[in-house]
Amino acid sequence: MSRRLTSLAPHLILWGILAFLAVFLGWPLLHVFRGAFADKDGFSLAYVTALLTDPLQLQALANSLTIAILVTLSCLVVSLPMAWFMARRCFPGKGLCSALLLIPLILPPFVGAVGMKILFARAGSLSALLMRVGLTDGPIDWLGRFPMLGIVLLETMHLFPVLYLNLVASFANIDPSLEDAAANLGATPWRTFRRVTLPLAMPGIFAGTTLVFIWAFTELGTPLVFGLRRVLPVMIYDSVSEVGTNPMGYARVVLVLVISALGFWISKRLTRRSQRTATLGRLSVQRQETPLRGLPLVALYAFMGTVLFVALLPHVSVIMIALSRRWFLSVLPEGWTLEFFGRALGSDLTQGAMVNSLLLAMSASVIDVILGFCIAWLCVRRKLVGSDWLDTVAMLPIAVPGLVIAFGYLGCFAAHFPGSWLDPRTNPMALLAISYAVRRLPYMVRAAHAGLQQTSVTYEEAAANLGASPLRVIRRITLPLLTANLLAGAVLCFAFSMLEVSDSLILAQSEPFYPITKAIYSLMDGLENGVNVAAALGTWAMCLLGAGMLWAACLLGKRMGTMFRAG
Amino acid sequence: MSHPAIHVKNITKRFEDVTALDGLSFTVEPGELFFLLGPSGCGKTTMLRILAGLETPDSGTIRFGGEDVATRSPYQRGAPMVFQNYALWPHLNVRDNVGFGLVERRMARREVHARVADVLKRVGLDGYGQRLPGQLSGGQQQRVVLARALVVNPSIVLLDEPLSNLDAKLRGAMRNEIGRLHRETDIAFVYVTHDQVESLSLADRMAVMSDGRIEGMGKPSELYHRPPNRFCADFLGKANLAAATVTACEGATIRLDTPFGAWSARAAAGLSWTPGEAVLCMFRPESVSPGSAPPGANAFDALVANLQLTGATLEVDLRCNDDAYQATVLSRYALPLEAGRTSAWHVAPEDTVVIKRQEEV
Repeated sequence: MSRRLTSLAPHLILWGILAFLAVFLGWPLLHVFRGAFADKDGFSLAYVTALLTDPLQLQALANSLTIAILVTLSCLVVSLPMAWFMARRCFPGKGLCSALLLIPLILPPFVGAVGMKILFARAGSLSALLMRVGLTDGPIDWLGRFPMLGIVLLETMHLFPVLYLNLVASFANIDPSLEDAAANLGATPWRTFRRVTLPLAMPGIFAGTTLVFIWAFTELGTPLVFGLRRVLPVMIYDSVSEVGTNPMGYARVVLVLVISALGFWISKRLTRRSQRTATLGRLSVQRQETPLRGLPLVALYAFMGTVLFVALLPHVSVIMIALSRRWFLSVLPEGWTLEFFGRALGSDLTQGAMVNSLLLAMSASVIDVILGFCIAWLCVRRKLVGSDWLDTVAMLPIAVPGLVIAFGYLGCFAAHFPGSWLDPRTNPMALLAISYAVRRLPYMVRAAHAGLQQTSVTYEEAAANLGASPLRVIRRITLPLLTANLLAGAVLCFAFSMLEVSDSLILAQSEPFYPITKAIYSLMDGLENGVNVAAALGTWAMCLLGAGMLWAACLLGKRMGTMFRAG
Repeated sequence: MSHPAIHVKNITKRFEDVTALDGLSFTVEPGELFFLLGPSGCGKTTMLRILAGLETPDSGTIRFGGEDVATRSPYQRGAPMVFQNYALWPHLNVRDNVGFGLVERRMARREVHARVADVLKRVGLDGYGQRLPGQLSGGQQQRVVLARALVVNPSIVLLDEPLSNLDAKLRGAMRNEIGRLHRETDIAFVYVTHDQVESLSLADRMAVMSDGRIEGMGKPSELYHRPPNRFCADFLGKANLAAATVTACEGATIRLDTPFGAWSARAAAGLSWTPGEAVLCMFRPESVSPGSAPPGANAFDALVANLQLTGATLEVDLRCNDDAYQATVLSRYALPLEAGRTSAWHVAPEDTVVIKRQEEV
């Protein structure tokens, strides 16, 4: 390669990626804003005002915020003690527990919701059980009575691992000598935790809670399945069909985006100071994990057992639905069958969905590995003009819900490229892959970023020093040293693309292009045991993802937590 | 006409507000072991990285063997470097680490193997080829890094504080090892360190740096015994300094007026002195002898403030006119010295050095 080209290439890559993000992230967002704030006469606040004065809309907003806040708080309550014990104590079965705690991630909560319905709906197990023991006379629809409670419970049980991983990582990163010093100066364990550990772990706590908050705030599938129409994400979903004609949809999307960004910004502001101090503490001493015995151990087992039982209840019930011949007003299914597993692989819809999801998730992972590595490399190794920008822009999707991106894609690509490969109405595959990739890009950038920062630059300097050109350095040194990080990032990107709900539900509008999640959703309303087939398809997806997550966890070891960091 | 292996002229480098290098110039002859010595932050590592092409100077020229290399990328410089933290690639075994540069030079596999085996033998790591860097001790890793640099048959090798990660005992052994490897080749070594013992014991020639400038350059013994300025005098060892005035220059002998009375010193070549000039007079502790002065020697009386036996030598703290001085004498049984007593001392004129006072505070 000529010298000119070698020095020019990084700039070309930089501006190429920025252009990509401008088209597939910036433009849709702009489009959404324009849709919300512009009418025939130019700038207008009419739609936003209409949104904020309509009691119906306000109630949806209040419902969504309530769900998000409750989910965040309950995730914190569930994860904080477990994370601390995992980071500070050793006890028998710890490895198994840390693996089990990741299982809830492998099932989209709305599929779990199907399972919960079977257990708690009018004709469900709980009603049957209560009637059998004679506590109630007739069936009670528990979910109908407390739909919010069911949603909060399900989303908590799905999302707490995200927070848990963040917390474990931040606890593990605290220099043990800082806690030893507190103890040495007379602080009891509890006061050490409150005055030293907790403040130092604040960045991780905020990062994790922000992720959970945004996730729960924009969760579409679960309220949809529970039939709670009056939450913002569902109302946005309902306005998809009139995306070109009714600007209210845009206004709702902008509201979601602003609240998500606000949450992200607040957490950034709050952690800025503590982040600076936390990085001061380098691990100077190897941490000794104290063994846990006696009553505290029993209490921890009981706590984890309860959490895992509740968290895995949806999974188990989904598997049971898939296996049951008939399950109506009885505690357990009446009759078992493997038929639905076969049917979940047999129909055109499901086969197509499997292939689509695999294809999409793989493309998204490949796009993310390439983009993520290039971005991290440009930001960490080449500090070009504009690489700060790149870093900021690439992290942006963390604060931008999938709902917003999908809605923006639908609006601008359908309008400007009608009938082309970018029109989601004709063929959403390209946009689906890109939206999956853009959504997961921050995690990939983070993984590559962390890898590069942990890898001393002298490895690359030494290679250049011995005669390797920049491209050869990347091929022979940088990439091999980053394999674990990149692969793990790719696996996670793959897993989450397979689980992606909001993009899939909104963008995939005709059956041949359904990914697994949308296929499950559409099967649930179907006749001929549609729910059972949906559950069987969900079980297949769970197996696939479980294997993927296990592999990622093996590759990353304790660094798993860094994948979900948001700051 | 043969060119120097390295010719550096007027190199300047700024990092934002800090001037790291301020017009550095030096040459290194083929096969020479050249040291850049200085305290941390003096710019010596920056200079080495500029030679390797890992930093770009703001101005100045760099020639390797007469060829201008200033615009060449690191991978086109052909000056392998021994990194301070070794930078052994953890995913490659010893053989692949060492052979890396040969593969980049598109050498046939067979020859790569042969030359790697050969160089591993030379550094005493025969049979370690399949090990990963993580399975080696610090000293072994150091040898691998040296082998990795030597195997490409360079005319220049750059060493960045190569011994700083080793413990004291190993450091001495590796120092000799590097000296041996250097003598066996005709490669010019540029060796950066902050340890004056390493530098004095190994260097053919050395440059003493401070604040991005070269304070003194020459053979170790010259620089140690006849330092050109106060910084070199202090940095290369212990130095006794006293303010003095030149009274007369008589050929090679300079007469001084010192706090101890009239002294004489030997003039260094290339420096001129004028009577009446305020100067510093420097003498090393080990050139101070106890007892009354023989004719022609510089004499002074001083109070013995403290005595400290280190084994072979006796470190003596002296006080004279409220100034502190040091003497290092061979510890002989029954030396008539006692703390708290004033006694006579003397220094030979050959061991007394006159230093310019320009940077005196």
